[in-house]
Amino acid sequence: MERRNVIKSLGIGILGLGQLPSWANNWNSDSFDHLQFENSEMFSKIVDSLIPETTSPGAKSVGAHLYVEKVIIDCYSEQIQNEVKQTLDNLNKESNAKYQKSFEKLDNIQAVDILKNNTSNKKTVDFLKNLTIRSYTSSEFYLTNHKNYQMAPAYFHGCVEI
Amino acid sequence: MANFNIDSKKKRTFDAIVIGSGISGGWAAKELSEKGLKTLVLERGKEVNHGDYPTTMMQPWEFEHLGQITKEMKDANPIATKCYAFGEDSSHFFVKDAEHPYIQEKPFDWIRGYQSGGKSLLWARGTQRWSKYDFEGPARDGFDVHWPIGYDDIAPWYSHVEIFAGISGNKDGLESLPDGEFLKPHEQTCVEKHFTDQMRKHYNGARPVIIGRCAHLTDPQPIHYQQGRAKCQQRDLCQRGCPYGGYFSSNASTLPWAKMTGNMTMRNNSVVHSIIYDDKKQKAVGVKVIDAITKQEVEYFARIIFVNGSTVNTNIILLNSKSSRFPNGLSNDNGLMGKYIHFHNFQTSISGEYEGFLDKKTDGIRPNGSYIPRFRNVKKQETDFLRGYASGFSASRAEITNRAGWGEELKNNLFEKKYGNWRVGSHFMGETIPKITNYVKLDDTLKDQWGVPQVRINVAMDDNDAKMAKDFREQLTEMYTLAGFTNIKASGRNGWNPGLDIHEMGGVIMGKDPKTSQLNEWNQLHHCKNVFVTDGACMTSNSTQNPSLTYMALTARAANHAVEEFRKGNL
Repeated sequence: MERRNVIKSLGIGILGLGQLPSWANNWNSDSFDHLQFENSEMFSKIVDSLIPETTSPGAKSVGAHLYVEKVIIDCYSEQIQNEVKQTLDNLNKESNAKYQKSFEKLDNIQAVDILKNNTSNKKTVDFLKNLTIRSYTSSEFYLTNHKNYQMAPAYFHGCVEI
Repeated sequence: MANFNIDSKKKRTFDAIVIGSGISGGWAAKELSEKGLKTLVLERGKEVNHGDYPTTMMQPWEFEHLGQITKEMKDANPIATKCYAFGEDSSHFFVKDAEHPYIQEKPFDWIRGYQSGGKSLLWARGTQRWSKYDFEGPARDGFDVHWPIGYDDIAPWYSHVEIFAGISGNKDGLESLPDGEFLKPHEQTCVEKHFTDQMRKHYNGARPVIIGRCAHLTDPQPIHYQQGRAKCQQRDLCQRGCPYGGYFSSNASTLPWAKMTGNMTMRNNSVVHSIIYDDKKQKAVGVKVIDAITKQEVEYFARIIFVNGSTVNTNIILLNSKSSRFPNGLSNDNGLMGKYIHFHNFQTSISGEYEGFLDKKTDGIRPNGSYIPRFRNVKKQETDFLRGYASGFSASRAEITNRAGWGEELKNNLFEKKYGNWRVGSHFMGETIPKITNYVKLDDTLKDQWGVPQVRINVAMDDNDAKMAKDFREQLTEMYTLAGFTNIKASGRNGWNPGLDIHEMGGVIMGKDPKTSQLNEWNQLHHCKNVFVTDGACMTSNSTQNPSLTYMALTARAANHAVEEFRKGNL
């Protein structure tokens, strides 16, 4: 258990310095100017509220907001991109109506409240949630600390006790 | 000037030319250069030396789309992106649709890899020997063309290539799937062993289930270290190219070996337009090459030519090699070249779950699975369809990601350690019957950017294929049920077309009779004996094994015959 905590705090230490994945470091606004989302700062709030910072890094620390926006722009159809735009607009409207501030200014409890109670955009909210989970569970922090990930195990045992 | 030309021609003259550097071309290059022949290898694609694998050490989190293919890539490459191995980590090793167009008279997913090593960087590495029943099948079942060789002819050459390539497997003692020269096998999982045991019990040994045989160095020998290869690290990232040479590829094995002899010259970006036939000498004297980048034409000369361009491209080259003696393509007197294209049918699969062994899991990574050798119609005809099928079988157990909740609750759920049931699955690999109606031919007018006629592909499945796929679903459902598996789902694979097996074969097939085949028992063109074809194009039938090992063995066998004939002055 002690070892685990040490690893966890190491993880925070490294990620706390703003150590994003290498692809995110290379990112600049020129790389996708034609399709950037107007309210792209909302992605930060979405991923941070879905998987928040606690004693361990959350989704924002691992760059999930950058991944979510990039993958939607690069890998999904215009229709899905439009659905995401529409959903971001709607979430913002709801936020203004309920809390009198824009979505990205909400605290995480309020943001989750808006996300999980949104019924008209459920499909897209679930899509954003899944992308956030995908990014988080593919991160170096998650794979090395939780999954015991090894790129080259050099062994295989077909039947071991759990 | 005259002297300059003589010098230039001399520089462009070799003992042997090998067209293509993929899994079979690499073997031709190795055998010919090792035996002392000055050998030129022509590869139409870019240079990829062993180690030139840009993504191979990348961690999952270093891919900006986490492995997903971009929409732009997908839209531009509807065919190439269908391949299971095409991903963010491997797309640079696949030919893009627009670069090399072809005409689909019927849907055909032609998957290509143009670079040093060809598709040997991308293959699935399954390597099983054919048995005597496989070679005898076409004659027994009345196919149009029969094999001119049998198992005994090729068995020593299987050994020859297995020892050098490094094949992992278990000596199972099966008549239908002969044992080879194996490195130590991978381990079956608990549920795979359970399935093996249950099938042995229920079918009295008639339906063996074994660990897959594959081209991985599980236990490297001195011959592998001499190639500069090391033990497989079990990353299962093979499609990126392996920095350890843990699996067999031309790049890691045969090409560097050929280079070490000092007798091999490799020329990349060399699109072979055609083979040059000399009417007076009554043999092929060289090849005409178009430089892929400069589009300049250059000719190379040799006494022996091996055509290993991959099945469809080998057909194109030979059909495009026209002369006054052979107006329809080199040695194509019977007009059958390009016909009898065949493939493996993967158009169905099955999956299920197992609720036992819930206190067990697997650990580590295995770049392999279990395997069900063909059990239908092996020794005699038993069903309402001809031939049979092999199947994969794998059982694994993954951790479940609990995606429920929001905020801290979701975060805690993601860190749960929970396992679901074991998941089991099998793919289908059915033998198809070579038919005169499945063909490739050259288009009369359309050409590619190198001036080579575009190919028209007309290959389709038939009633026998449908019946066999149905039998697979029924038999595997029965077998899964007997093993106690649940949630069994057998279904066809939507959007699967011939070609996506990447096992296309035929068109320049081996046979005894020049009236019905193109190649003799040594893979020589019947009417132009110094041209050898030993890639998939030469295959008389396809049986149910993954084909590459047989291409390698046929190539080594033919190359050694070529060297003998060369020394005797017969070529």
